[in-house]
Amino acid sequence: MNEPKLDPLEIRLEETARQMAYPPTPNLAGQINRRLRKTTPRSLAILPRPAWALLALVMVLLACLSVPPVRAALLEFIQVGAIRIRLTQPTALPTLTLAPTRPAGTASPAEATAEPTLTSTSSPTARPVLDRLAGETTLAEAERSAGFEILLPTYPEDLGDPARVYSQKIGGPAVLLLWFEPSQPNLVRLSLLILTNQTLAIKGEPRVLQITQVNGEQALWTEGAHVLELAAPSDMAFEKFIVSGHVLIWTQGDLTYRLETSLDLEETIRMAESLR
Amino acid sequence: VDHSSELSDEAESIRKARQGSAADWEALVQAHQQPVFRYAYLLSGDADEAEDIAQEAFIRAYHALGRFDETRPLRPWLLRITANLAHNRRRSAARYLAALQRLVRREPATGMRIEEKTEQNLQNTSLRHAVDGLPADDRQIIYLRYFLDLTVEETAAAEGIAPGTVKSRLHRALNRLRHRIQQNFPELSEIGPG
Repeated sequence: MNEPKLDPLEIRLEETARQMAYPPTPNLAGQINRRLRKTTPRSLAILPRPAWALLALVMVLLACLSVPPVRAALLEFIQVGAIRIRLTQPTALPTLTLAPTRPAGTASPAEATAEPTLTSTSSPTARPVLDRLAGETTLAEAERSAGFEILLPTYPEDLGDPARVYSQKIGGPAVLLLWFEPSQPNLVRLSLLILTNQTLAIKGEPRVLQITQVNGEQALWTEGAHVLELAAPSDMAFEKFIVSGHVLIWTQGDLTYRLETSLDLEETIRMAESLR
Repeated sequence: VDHSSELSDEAESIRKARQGSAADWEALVQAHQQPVFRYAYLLSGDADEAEDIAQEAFIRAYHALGRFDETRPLRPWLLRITANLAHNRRRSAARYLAALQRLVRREPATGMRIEEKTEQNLQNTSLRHAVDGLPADDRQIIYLRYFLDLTVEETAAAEGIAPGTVKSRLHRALNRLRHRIQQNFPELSEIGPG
């Protein structure tokens, strides 16, 4: 069968497709077989998956809690508002500061796993990725759908309104605000995530984890790459991704704020306390 | 290439996989993992996410294999599952944050090889961006037809539409792409007009 003649755009599309630099295709067969082998036996598959996950979690926790050292390790976490940071090692918390748990330049297993991922997925064309995200809206509309007042940083004075506003349901309403670098509009200058009743768990310790204060309330400051798990309580689904920036987490009223910047702690706190 | 023979071999592998043959299921995964992964990558723009989507697509296909008509080619069906999963994940909250992380990494675009800086490659990159900005339906049909090199019939099966509809949808998608190039990608103006 003769294919119709292609026009210049179609020819260029085919050429672009041929030159497309795809990441190497992973060998999926092994991973899929491992996952299939873990499938629950049919006779036990009466409960829906979330119920099974909950039951398994409870059983593991009960078993572990009967062993004192494990209990100490399991229960050791820090939580600010809707965001929980799990500690991988039982560590006594100083009153104000958790010093870095190991010398700078060394990596935990989680970080060792995470770093190659960071490199391999880096992309100078990140903005188009963001362009595909659903939920972009205006400040006024985000405020209306979230049902809470969106406060904006007034420091630094030249910051202005966010360049992008996204409204989503993450368990409860959530709003994500982005400001881009004026000189490099492909880069995010800062991002502010406002959550109500969602839990973000940081699995593994970041390089720096510090207890601090914002407006007199306890807050957390993290530096260094770490794996984040986003948990949606409604369906117990967990999603993992990598964090590499500096993050300040604090609460104000019923809301939890997560501010990610490249600024230092002092400047970030100043920005957090400038919300109006 | 004897497609009918390939189809018959595939149908046999599907029947055996249904009966529990791990080797046959693995052979099917091996045969289709590249287009499935690449399609997931085109739709998600991220290698890690594409791997997750591709894995999940095969898992779901495995569990639904009993309902699949083995006289039909498997690949379009797998690609359809992949597109649905990619679409659902796109709307998930984690994707906001994952995309955000990519933006805040501030990694300079170093390491680019000289040959990648040629004008034609830059134009190809622009064309990718132009396609990326199209509505999801347009993007999908362009990716299937031109990037994965599916026939009209395979594209129709992957999209769950009639072959005639593929042609009309492709026509509309290309027109929208031309319009987008004219509006936003002046460096591609020579290929923009229809």
